[in-house]
Amino acid sequence: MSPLLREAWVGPGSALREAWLAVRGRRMAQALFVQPGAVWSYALEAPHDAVRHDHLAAWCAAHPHSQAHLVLSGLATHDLVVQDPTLPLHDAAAVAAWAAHQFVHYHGNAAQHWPVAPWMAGGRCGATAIHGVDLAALQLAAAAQAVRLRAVRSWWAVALAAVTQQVPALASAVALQVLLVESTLLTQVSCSGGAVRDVQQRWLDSPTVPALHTLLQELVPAEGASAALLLGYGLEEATPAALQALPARVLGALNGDCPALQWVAP
Amino acid sequence: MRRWPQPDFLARGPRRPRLAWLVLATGGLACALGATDLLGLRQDLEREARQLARLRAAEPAAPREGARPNGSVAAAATAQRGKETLRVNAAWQVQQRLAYRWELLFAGVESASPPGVQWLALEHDGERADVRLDGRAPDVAAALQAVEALAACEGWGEVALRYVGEPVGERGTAAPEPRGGLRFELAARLAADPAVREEPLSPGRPGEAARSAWKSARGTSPPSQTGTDEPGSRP
Repeated sequence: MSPLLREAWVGPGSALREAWLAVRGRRMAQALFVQPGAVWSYALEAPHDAVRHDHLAAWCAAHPHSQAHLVLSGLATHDLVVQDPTLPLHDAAAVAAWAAHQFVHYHGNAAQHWPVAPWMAGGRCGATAIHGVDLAALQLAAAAQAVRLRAVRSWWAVALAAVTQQVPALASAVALQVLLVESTLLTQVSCSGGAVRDVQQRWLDSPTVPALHTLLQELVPAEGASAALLLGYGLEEATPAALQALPARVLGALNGDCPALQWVAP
Repeated sequence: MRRWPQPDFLARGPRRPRLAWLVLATGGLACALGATDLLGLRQDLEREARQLARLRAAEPAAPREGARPNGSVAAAATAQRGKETLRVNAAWQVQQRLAYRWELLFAGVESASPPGVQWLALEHDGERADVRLDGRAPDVAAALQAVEALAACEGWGEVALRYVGEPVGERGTAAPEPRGGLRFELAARLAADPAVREEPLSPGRPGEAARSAWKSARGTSPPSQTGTDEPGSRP
């Protein structure tokens, strides 16, 4: 490559480099954390400084023709895991139909129109439903700016994959609990033998470390503390000293308004 | 790496590969057509091979002109038949020429020639009984007189003067023309008169019997003369 070309390519302020980065940025799907009433975007240069948007349309207007995958907060989803292995659920469609019926049974007629995403993995199956955000509105907002949504997933699934990818020794643990705290919501993902056994949502009395401690004492047995991983956001006064007393291994800080990028974009 | 649940609200069901089936059907159709074409070509090839074998068996004495490519077997057979037809036609034309009593015709020409007229050449088309005569006359009047005299002769008809002019060495004659004369050319048609023909042949489309006779006798002594011959004599 001639010096002139090299200068044109890698030089500061190079138009070619800027154009290449712009195209590369559009080709790379960006992770967006979606809460009821808020959308958080992350910058690769500053993963700890997330940017809040009131709606997905605001982010799409700033990033037309890009790609994104949405991560739904536990505040916007409900989950079911099939505990009866004798149920005749042989494919994802059957699981979705069964789950839709169960959601209506537990949450009433409002659940009739919830989008349901079934899953089958590790010999277990279950489903996630969206109740806190309007999926159709999200898709319309993306389509208006030609933003391609590559996936819309619940956070616990994304965080579970991220945790086991970053801590591979835990992936094959006999019993593993991944606890996701989002302010007053605690999502408990119980795994054993490399498969998800249950997904449950618990509520804290307050978004504080003592309230979380009280709840964890009920959920996590004393001998299983080493296999319980805690991560999340939204706790008040989550100082390192206070977190050390929790009966679980805490990954990262638990304060802030949204999870860290590493737990959202595996 | 373990596969953890990844419930995706945008996941579509298993796509029905209609396009794949369409492409498969089109490919299968193309293969079927190709196979049919191949079978047809093979049958054609076998038929041509059988025909070639028949031709070779029918003409065991025909000289082989070296190895031919397989694709031109039919063309070679056609060319062989064309050569045979040309040979038969040429022989038939010679036979037609020989059918006239030329001594009688030449005697009439010689007796009718005006003084000073010299005959240079004669061309005869056996197929159409046309005759072209070249001669030299001292003047135009002598040439016209020669035409009238020839028309009056027995066996000559439709005599017409085609050209009268200076002898400029036309028709490719390399010899220099003697000075003091006009070159003239006349055309005539020999009458289908039994008196001037040794054996009568039907006018219009003559010679089928003669052609067949030559075909049957070509093996004995095929004549080799073709086209025009110029007696170039002075009758």
